[in-house]
Amino acid sequence: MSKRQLAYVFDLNKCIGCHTCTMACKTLWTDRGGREYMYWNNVETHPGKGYPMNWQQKGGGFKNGALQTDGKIPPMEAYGAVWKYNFEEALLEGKADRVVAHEKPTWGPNWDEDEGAGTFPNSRYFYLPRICNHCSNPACLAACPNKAIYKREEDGLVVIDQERCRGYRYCVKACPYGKVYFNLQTQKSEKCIGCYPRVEKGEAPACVKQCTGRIRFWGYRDDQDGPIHKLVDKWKVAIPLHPEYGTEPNVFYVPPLNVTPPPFEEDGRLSNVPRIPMADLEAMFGKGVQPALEILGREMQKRREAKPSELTDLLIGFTNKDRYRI
Amino acid sequence: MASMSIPGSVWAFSKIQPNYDPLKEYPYRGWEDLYRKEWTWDSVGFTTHAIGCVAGCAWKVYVKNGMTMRDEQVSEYPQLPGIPDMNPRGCQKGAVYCSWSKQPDHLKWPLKRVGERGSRKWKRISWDEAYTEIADKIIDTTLKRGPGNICIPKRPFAIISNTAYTRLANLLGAIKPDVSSMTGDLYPGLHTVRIPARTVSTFDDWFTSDLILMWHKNPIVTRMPDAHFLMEARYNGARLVNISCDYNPSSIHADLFVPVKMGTDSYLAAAIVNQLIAGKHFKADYLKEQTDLPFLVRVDNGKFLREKDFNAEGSVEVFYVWDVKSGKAVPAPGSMGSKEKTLKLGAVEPALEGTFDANGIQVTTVFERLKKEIAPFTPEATQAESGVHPTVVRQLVEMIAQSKALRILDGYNNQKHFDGFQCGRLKMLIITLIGHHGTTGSLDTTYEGWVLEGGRNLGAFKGKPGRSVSMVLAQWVWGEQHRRAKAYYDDKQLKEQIGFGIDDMEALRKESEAKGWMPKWQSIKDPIVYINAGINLFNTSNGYQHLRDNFLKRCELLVNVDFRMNAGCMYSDIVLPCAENTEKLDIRETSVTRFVHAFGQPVKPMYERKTEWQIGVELAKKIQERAIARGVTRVDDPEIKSAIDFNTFYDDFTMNGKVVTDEQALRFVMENSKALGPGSYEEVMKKGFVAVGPTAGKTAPIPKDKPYRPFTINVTDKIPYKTLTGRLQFYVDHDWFQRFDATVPKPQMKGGGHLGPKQYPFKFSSPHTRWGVHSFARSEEWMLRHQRGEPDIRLSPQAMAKKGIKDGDMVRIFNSSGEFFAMAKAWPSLPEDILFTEHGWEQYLYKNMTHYNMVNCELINPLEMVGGYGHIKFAAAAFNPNRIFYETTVDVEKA
Amino acid sequence: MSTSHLSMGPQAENYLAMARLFSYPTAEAWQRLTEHGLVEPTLSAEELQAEYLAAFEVGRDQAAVPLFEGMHRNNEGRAGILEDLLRYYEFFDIKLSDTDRDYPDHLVTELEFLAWLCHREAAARQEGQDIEPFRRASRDFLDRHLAAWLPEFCSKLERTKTAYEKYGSMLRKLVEEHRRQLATAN
Repeated sequence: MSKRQLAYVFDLNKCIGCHTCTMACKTLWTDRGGREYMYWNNVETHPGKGYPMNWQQKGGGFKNGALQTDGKIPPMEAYGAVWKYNFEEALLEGKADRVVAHEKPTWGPNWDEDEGAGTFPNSRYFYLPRICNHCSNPACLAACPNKAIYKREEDGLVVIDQERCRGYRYCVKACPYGKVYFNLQTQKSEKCIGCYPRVEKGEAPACVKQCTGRIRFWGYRDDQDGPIHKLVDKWKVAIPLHPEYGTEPNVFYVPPLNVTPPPFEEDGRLSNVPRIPMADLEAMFGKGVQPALEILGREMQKRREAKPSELTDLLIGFTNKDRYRI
Repeated sequence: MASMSIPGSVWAFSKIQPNYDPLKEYPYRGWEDLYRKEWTWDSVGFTTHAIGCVAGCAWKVYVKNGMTMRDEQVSEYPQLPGIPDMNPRGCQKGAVYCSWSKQPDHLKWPLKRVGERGSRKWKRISWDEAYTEIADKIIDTTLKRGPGNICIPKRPFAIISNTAYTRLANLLGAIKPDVSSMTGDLYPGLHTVRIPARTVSTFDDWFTSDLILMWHKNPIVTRMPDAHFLMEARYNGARLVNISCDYNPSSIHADLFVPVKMGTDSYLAAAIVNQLIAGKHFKADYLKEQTDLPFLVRVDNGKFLREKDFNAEGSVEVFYVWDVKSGKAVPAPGSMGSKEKTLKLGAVEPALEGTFDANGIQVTTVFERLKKEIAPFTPEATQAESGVHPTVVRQLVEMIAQSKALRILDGYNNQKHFDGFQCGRLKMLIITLIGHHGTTGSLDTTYEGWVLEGGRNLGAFKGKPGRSVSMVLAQWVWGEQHRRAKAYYDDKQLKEQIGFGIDDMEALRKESEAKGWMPKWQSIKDPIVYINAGINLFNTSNGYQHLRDNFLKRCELLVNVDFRMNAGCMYSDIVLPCAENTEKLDIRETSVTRFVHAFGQPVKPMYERKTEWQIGVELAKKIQERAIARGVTRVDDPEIKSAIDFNTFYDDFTMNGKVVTDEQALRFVMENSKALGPGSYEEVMKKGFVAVGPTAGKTAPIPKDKPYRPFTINVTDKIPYKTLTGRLQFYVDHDWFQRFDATVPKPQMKGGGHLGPKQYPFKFSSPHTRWGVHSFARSEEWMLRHQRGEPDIRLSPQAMAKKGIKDGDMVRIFNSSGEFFAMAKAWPSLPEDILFTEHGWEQYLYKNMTHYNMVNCELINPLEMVGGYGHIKFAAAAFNPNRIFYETTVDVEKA
Repeated sequence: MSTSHLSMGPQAENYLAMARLFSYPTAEAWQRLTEHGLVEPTLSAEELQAEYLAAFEVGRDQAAVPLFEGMHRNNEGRAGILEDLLRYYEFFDIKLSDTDRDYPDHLVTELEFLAWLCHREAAARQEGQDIEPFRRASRDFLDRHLAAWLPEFCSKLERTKTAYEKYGSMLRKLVEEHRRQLATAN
């Protein structure tokens, strides 16, 4: 265990699927050097296959405390190619009849955007932004035969020592979230570094600071006055993704409100079943969903009746300081 | 600086400037050292990525050795008490700008066509060659064809960049098309009710609402930097309602989703009004003072009762209410013809309802007329049209009736439908009936501008007004759209649904021009020289290829100015490269926040790009030079009572040398604007943004510690509105409004949405995209990677099954007037009868260089060509025909 | 045209001459290039300009050959290449020109940078200072950049059937020769 742990809360009821976080990360860390195909931060539509494709079925993590060795390495097709376009040829030289990708696109990090499931007008989808969970019990760390992965003492961020890494890819197999990538150019594994060079200067990670939907809360888990402790431990509305993987993630999600907007009966009247079935959400966030949504619903109702609520004020996050601090 | 060379060498450096320090040591041990050295920036500058966008966001640009390396939002806006701040402002498009600007589709130097138009074969020419050719052609055209055959449409979305073209156009007597209606971004329907129609609160005001209707607007996708105010309002107790034909990304965050059939929103709105009136959910006192609903209307001819009805010398712009106290018709204060410039009723107590005898003339009130005409539109009666179950309508009405602070977000998609004109009036009626307009609520369109006098003065030139036109009408004529519309639409069907056919529409257009209601320049002038700035030339049109081919026949010199080779540039004779966002010195004002944002020129233009003000200045200089060399002086322009002074063109353009540099022009704008003033230039360059002062608001002052909300002083200070009646005006007794049975707000169109021929089973929807700002960033490689890598078309899974189409298939979308190809994408959130594509795609990304706007067909609502009626008359960016995109029907097949 | 003329001059001169040869041949530039025997005077300035555009900007029968390293090493990503180059230039106090604004991975920029390193090496040698930092930098810079994309650039250039095809091989010989020199002890 590290001395302290940085943690995140992502409020899915605020996420607008704009991918500003993704591009903030992309332009800071992964637009070069063999990392182009990687999205250390991505946003995916659920229900959906996600990125890398079908990561929820890839295996890895722990079962009853034991590291699972059945994890797969996602093939490159599961990430999609970095398409390059023939702009000069088509637009400046008049030699091609169209600007087109160098290969036929078949999959990408956001291929099934907005698709979800169901049938209009009762379809359903929500956005799920994902980064490395900087787990308290990282499967990648446990799997590395070379001890190249460690949790930073001062903040618990999980990083891969680029000099020690031999490129065995056990970590890629072991991470059940598909958040460790293999750099074909350097032949080493790489992943989200929690923007530690920024953190060391007191600056929030790019994906947190640049989130224009203001869904991201960040700080030390043990900071009693900070938003993480309050949302996760005090109000218990933020819960980990796939807790059953056993890695003890430090990214927590406020789950999406599932009863609104109400779906419709055949004849067009409003129905009173939830739009998103609770079973869908429990399959992703475990049994903690229902209590979390009940607390959230109760506090939101208070505000509709013009009564004060600490929880909704927290989630509004009036200023930068209210949403992230270290 | 002189180019540096090695001592004794015959060759000089060009692209680098070494700094020679003989004493400095360079302990270079290996390349790893380069990485060990901490990543640092030489400088951080400011910019905004507001091209095509109304958001207005402050960005930092990190610069290393003159190269822009990365964008990150400034995130330092101050907070208003009790309101969430707006940090950080800026979306994914802004975040990748530095990467995008390095793509090879970004222009480097002036290009001249060497092959056929559209063949995309170019040669590089010098600026001097380009200016000379353009200047000579302008002079030749003016001498040969007379003034007014030059057209300068522009939309660079930054003040001095934009104004460079306004000033050029004014000095040349050129045609200045309204680009707002061109893109379908006007609200002519709303304009009949309030001025300005396009008005918004600052978007932080959303937080103060307790009920927000997102209607024809998908703010989660199109208003990213402000969308958090919606979610935060929800946490603050507000309920969100999304009214849409698809279950879009804004629907998923709503408390109530209302699935209305595409294009039938006027029926839903009418049903809501019907129920608000039936349930007496209206605020009579407010209506009596703030609206024309108590105004008297003659029973015999349906016209307002006017002063002239009693007195031959009387005004036609003075109207009456029925005073319950005195039992007679008394003039209502505040109308255009009234001497009382107030809404104060004094001792008068107007009747809202009833029928009266005014000195022998039978009169009733507007409200009575409205009640009668809206009565048939019950929730039950409208269900067949709108598809919304009556219980859902009633639930929505209940929410509206209980609301204390209603906000309607009325998006641009409203008026892209034929019935958007009436739907806009109905939406205004909803928020007005309950008395929230200008008090606790607001109907927010997409954006308006702040009042900055300096900007206006930089463009204006005394005695030289230029020639404003409706771009839709200009492209109708130049693009020979009458012929195409006639071939596509089924006239019989049109007559059943809207009461007139395409030939009638053309006759109405001519009648409007003949009466002087709409400008006629497009009918008597040609676009011989066309300087197109910051617009993707055919992307915003209906019938892309048809317009292109017919327009190009009339145009002898087509010049495009842009920072990248957009699809419209492909057809240019000359392409001029302007400065990138990061290379220009300018500001952008939009009223969605109280801040004006800096294009702070973090780096100087690369290659031969120039800022647009400089392009204006230099072209003006060349025009004057050539004119003097050719002995050309003044050319009279009697049609607009003006003249073109070629021999002093540069002197006039630069105010005799006062506004030559970008900084001079920008300071002129800022220092001569009351809401900015001295010191604002320094501040915006230092922080990336600067707040406007109270006078920037068009309809209310901007409060210091609260969000801005429009039209509040009309209520608090009883200031008349700028409409004919001086009220929020819901009755229009213009002949054409009577002719088309549209005097009150109610649905104009029958037959359940869509005027396109019924033989094509799909309606075609192409709203704003998440992945671009129109075509801005549509070619960006990271953005493309987050989509399908090429243009896609969304279909419901049921429609795909019927048509034998699988996700990922290439499909052909077609009707009798065109076709295009795209990759099929399944979208379960779409009704079976809609095909959906997000707009802005570049033509060059499509198979066979087709385009989604090739299947659309032009259609004009005659009510938008009305004039000669108080405030209802041609006004650029306010009232003229809005482009209707969404009445087209299509079919689809596997390609 | 042989390269003998070039190999005789100091290395810095050769690189600078090459930088001029791969810059747009304005009338003035053409004058100097012909005077110094780099371009045959039988090829007029206008003809050479047409060849330049055909080779590098608009193409003729084939696609044009971009003059930017990042566009030849697509699978390595241009952003990383640009960053690496900027670090090199920064380390040696090289500012990119304010007047001829171009990207750091332009062929001419890289050639001028090598010219500068060679010049500094020669100057250090004359003054009895340590020349190794400059030689190491040249070696690494060639390995990591110019020499890494030159072969592909040259082979594409040869297929353009323009006057510039032979200049590609001249440049390649110059670089090979320089690398040989750098590989041996000084």
